[in-house]
Amino acid sequence: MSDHPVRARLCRLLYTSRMAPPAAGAPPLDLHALARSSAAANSKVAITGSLLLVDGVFVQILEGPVAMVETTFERICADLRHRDLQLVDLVDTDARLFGEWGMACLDAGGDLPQSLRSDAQDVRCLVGVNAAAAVRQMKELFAAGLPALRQTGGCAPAPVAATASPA
Amino acid sequence: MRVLSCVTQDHVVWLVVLAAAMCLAGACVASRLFHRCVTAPRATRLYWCLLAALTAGAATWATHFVAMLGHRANVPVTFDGPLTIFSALIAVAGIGAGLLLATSRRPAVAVVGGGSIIGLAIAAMHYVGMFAYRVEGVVTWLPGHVAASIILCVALCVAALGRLTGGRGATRQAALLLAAAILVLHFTGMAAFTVQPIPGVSALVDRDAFAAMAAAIALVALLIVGVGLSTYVVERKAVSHSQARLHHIAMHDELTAVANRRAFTEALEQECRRMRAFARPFALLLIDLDRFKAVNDTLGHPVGDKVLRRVAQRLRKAIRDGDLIARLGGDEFAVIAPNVADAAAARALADRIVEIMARPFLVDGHIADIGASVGVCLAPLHGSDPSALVQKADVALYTAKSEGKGRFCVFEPAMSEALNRRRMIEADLRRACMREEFDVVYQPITDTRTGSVTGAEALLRWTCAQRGEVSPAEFIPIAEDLGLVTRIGAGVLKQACRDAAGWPSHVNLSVNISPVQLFDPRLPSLVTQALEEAGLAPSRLELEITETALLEDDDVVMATLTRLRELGVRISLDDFGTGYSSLSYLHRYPISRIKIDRSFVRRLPDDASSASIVRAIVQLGVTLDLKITAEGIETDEQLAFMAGQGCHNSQGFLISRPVSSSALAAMARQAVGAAA
Repeated sequence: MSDHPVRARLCRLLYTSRMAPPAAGAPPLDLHALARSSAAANSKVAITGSLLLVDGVFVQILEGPVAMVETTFERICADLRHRDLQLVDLVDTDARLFGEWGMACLDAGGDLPQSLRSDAQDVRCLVGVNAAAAVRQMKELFAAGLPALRQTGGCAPAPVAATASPA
Repeated sequence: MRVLSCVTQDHVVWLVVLAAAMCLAGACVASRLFHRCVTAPRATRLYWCLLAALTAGAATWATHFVAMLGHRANVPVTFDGPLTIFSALIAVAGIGAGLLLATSRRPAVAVVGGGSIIGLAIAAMHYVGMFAYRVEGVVTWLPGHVAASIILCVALCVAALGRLTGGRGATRQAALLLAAAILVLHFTGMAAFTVQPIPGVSALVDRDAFAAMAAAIALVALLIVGVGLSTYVVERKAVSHSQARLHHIAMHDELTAVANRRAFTEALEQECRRMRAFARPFALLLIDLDRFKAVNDTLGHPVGDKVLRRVAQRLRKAIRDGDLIARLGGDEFAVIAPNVADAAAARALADRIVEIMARPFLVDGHIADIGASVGVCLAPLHGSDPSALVQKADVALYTAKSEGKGRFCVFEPAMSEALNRRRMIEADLRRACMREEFDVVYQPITDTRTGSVTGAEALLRWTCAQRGEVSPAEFIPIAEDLGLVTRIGAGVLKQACRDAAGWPSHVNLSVNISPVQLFDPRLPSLVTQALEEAGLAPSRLELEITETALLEDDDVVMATLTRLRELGVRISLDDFGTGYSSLSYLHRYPISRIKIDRSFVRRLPDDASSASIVRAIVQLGVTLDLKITAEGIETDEQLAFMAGQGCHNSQGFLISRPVSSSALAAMARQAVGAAA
């Protein structure tokens, strides 16, 4: 990014996918390693958002300048480790919802408090019905769960991207 | 004999070897440059000749001086500087002139003339060099050896040039011949040269100065040869680089950088050869993008091009190492997958491609929702030559498309038969359109309560001269694909209106209108024309449309329906209950009747859920003031059930099979007569 970032058009994208069954003999997917590497990649291109794994389904929100969201989403679409990938929502936005977190992630299958887990399941249900409500619910889930996430192994990378981003 | 003894006895052997080595190295470079001279285009030929002449002249000159350094002269030696330099100029100029002649179009002039001049130039250099070699003694020359040296040198140079104009790899032989020419000339010439010391003169005067001078000259000459060599190499690299680039351009698709059709054809041929030679199976996949035309049409070609580039990138992710991707043109791609032995491996690959293409493409803020259909065939299972394989993959691709797109099909022989049948139907259908081979029959519609005929639905029949009666379910989709539906539909409408005009006036006419017709803004004028020609009142015509036509929520459809309604024609919604059955259609569009689909009626009256659906639809009709028709009535129980629900009209095999126009008119009159 340049020293004087121009105010690029921001957009927010919500998609869901399933994990492809790992190839025979391959190690099972390490969600946190995946999230760490994608967070590192995302911070370079000013992408923020959140990633939720609930009942074997990924729900991810990407937000950032349109071109960068497109590039990131194209990389995801070209990745066959995802299956049943569905683009749920793509909207223009004035401000980031997840600006302070980089790419936060949460595995709702882990040792989460029951309340968080049911909130995560709510997100999953909402995604099919009302994308905007799903995004709000996701934001609340991460806001409420952030301290808990740090303790239970969820990862919330340092907010590098947010400070450098044009938002 | 004398030459040999001259070399061995009058010379220091290691310097002779060094001279010979330098000569050989120089000759190698020079002969490559010679070759470049004869093959270079006219524009650069002169410069190549200059470079070659400099290099060859320097090689000759250096050989001469290194060899002279090794010459055991038992007399004081000095030499004439200007003459020495002049000798070098002779060599360069002479060889240059010879080379220019060697580029002549006439081979005799080129080889003999050019070779002779080069040979003479080498000889002249040597003997002028010998004049510059001043010895304090009595010099004698053997004329026979001098003559022999010149003749041999000329002959070898002619031979060298002869080799150069020959085929490939000849430059090495030419280099050997050229080196031989220089060395033979030098040592034969030295054999012709004897010097007797003058008594009383010291032998070793200026020996060191001479050695230094000779070494310096040899070094300069070596540098020149080196420059010649590096120039040649650099030029060769540049040429091969630009050739590689041209080759890449010729074999690759400019937009997506994958292989183009030409490269695909070559690769497929090669893969077929390998399969035959090593029994190596492979799979061929033809990929066609779905809905890509819409992307180009609505988002523009620049966006379309970006999508195509992304498609190529995604294909790279979906294939295995060693598979070849090609763009055959437009939105068609192909993959050649070597070593795919069974259908399972090919299926896995095709599945990955379909999966990865089904995902949306985001380009410049737009979502391009395309997808891919893939046809797969296996070699040698389905064929072993390129054209058969392409044809079979094409059949499989076609099947994948006709089965609903966004999927892959592996070739099966039955597909060819189905496709052949379809192709023949296509041809017959076109012919039928010209000859108007279609018939219209009428299925009576009765009042559910009284059982009297109140109307009839016009049904299209096609009796093909070759294949007999063809089901509308088979030929209507084909007619839609061929764009014949509007024409056939117009014919049916006109025919039906003419027929209905002859029926009792209480019998109404229903005609099916396909979505394609409904999107055509000319439909109202067609209807007006058909009614006027037949003299049929608009109020007696009902047009049946399906939900699919309303899905698009198109302004054109809305305008058309409104216009039809203004004409006094009624609209009914066919096959109600099978599609989305959105109630908003009933509200939004000017619809006056719904027809309950036969699939619900068939399970009546025993199936509780069908019964409740029918009940709900009838209730809906009552509430929204719509007429209800039940289709597909086959039993008395079904009819009784519908009557009990208050369904207005019925049609089905129980009432009557479709009949001809005159039979329908008779039925209607009979019913009226019976009632009266």
